[in-house]
Amino acid sequence: MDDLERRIEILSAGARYDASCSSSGSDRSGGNGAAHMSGVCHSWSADGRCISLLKILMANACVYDCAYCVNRRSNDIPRAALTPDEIASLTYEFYRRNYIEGLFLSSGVVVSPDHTMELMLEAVRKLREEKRFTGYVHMKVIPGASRELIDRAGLYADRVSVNIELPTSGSLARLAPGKTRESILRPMSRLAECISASRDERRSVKSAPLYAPGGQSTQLIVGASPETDLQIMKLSEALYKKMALKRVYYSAFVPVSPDNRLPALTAPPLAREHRLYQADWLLRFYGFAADELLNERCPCLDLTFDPKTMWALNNLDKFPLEVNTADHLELLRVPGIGTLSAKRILRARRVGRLNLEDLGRLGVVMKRAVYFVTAGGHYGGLKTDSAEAIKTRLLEKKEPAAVQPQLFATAEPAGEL
Amino acid sequence: MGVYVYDNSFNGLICAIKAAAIDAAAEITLAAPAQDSLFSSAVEVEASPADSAAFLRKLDGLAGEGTAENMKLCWLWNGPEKEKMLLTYARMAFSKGKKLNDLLADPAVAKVLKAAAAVLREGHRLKGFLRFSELSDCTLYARMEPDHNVLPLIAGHFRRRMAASDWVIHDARRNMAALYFGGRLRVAELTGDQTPPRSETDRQVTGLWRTFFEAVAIRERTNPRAQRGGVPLKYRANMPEFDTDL
Ligand code: SF4
Repeated sequence: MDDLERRIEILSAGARYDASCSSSGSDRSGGNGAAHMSGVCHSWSADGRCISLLKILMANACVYDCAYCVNRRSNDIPRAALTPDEIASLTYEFYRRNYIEGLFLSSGVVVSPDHTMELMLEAVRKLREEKRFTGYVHMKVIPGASRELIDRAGLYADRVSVNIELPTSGSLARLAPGKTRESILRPMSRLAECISASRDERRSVKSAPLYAPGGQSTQLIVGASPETDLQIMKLSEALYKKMALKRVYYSAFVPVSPDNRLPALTAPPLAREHRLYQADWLLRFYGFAADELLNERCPCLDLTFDPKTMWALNNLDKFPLEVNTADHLELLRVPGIGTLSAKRILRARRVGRLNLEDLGRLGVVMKRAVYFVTAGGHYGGLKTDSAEAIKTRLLEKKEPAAVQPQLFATAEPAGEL
Repeated sequence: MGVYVYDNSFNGLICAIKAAAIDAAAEITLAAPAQDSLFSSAVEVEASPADSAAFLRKLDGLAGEGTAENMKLCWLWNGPEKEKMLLTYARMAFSKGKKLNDLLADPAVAKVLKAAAAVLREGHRLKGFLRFSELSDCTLYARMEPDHNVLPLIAGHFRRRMAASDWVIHDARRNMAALYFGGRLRVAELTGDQTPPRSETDRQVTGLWRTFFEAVAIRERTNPRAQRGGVPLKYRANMPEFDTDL
């Protein structure tokens, strides 16, 4: 095996795990990742995940020693690096053969954040300017990089991301010495500024340069530190509001090697990760606030029921809801009614009154919704206002398969893009 | 009972359907030897692109947008009795109107919708699975053997994607190819199944791609079933990452 092959092997293997700033952003759920871009999967790896991007590190050496990361300084693994030219050629040659949709470039921190960023920028600059590459580029921004370098990232990349890594500064200090909350948030807010400035400018001047048109995302590791789901959802809510992030990715902590700073996990907390994605979905598309889903008394997402069902069960006084008169936001809060079926209900209502049978045809999942709606005054659920009784019934109707972690990989359209 | 004969082109079929739609007992057959029988008076229908477009617009107006698109997709489908399926579907556009594409329980409608969906799905898959190799003269060449005639469906996608290169997409099953040279796209017959010689760099790049492909998989989570769901076996013969002889 020649040297280039060996380095590609090391650097793509280093990029496949979630838990590092050198990884994908959503390795596990990569199966659906491409849907955010064009929905094209170019291949499927032996572990059953969609491949749409050349996901690779510039280098896997790192001056930091983050406990949860394979590439940390103290880990004894083979190290390698690619040059900017090699990254650019590889991406270009793969793209024109239709192997990939684009590049996902990350890196361990070599020498310093600035040095690393310069190498990465040089790679994507060559790709765009010398190879005239028009495909997709997602580029990680290294915490601690100087502002001038951060400002250039979005000129070449479609999407940029800085990993928030852990939910609190306490956990960062413990598990990621060398990174501070400040060193992560500063580039993030700078990227947000650049993105919105470019959008504004392009509204008046069409020829103004594009800056990360695909926006900014981040990734957070779940289960390596003691924070509750409430803390995590509050953080995500703030990131969506203040930093205008496109996505927060949650990645279940994969124990990559023993480290006494870490909890001893036997398996990654995939079920929890799945619930976080659902709750995140409710924040972004269903008008929920983090406070409504979780509170100090109940700071953790239920693993048996999805967050919307839990919210409805805790707020039974608001139900049943009459589907013929409820407004859009109210409909969205009914378990079993999604964004699409809510729209269909509104449309169908204009033509005639809806009855319970109509709802199934409109895409409502009746086995869940039935306890929470009336149609023309008719109710098909239980004559009780006890949440426990409804829970029992819901559990009876639940397919056992729904709790297998296998399915989580496809359940949530959480992409890496 | 009228028999309408068309020239095996899509526009020809649409014109034949237009002519036959009003005749409840009509049948449509291919252009192949028009045999007048005692019972039928075969009408040869001329393929007029303008008439065909107008009729398709009319169907969209009657039965809602997407109806003409379903007809086009169904035409690319690889299955028996397409003419009959499409004729019935077009007739139903007149009788059922806007309800047509919601009649999922009607076997005739379901057949058309299913065929259209199958064609779309395969076209979408091949946008990802198609593999080009670089020939010694720098042309990019891709070979495929799709179940359905998806070439017209995907050629435009690759023109946008690779506007600056010269390339060929070869449907080896139908002996057809999309040829894109000097910025012009045309579709032509292409027989012969010899893959032209690849460039030296191409071999290397393919090797690197296979290395990457192996390395991204997390070995402890090997899941051939999920992989098969993603890339069905029938496509793998033309994808170098699955080539076991290399
Ligand atoms: S900075 Fe931390 S998370 Fe990123 S590559 Fe280095 S050790 Fe891993």
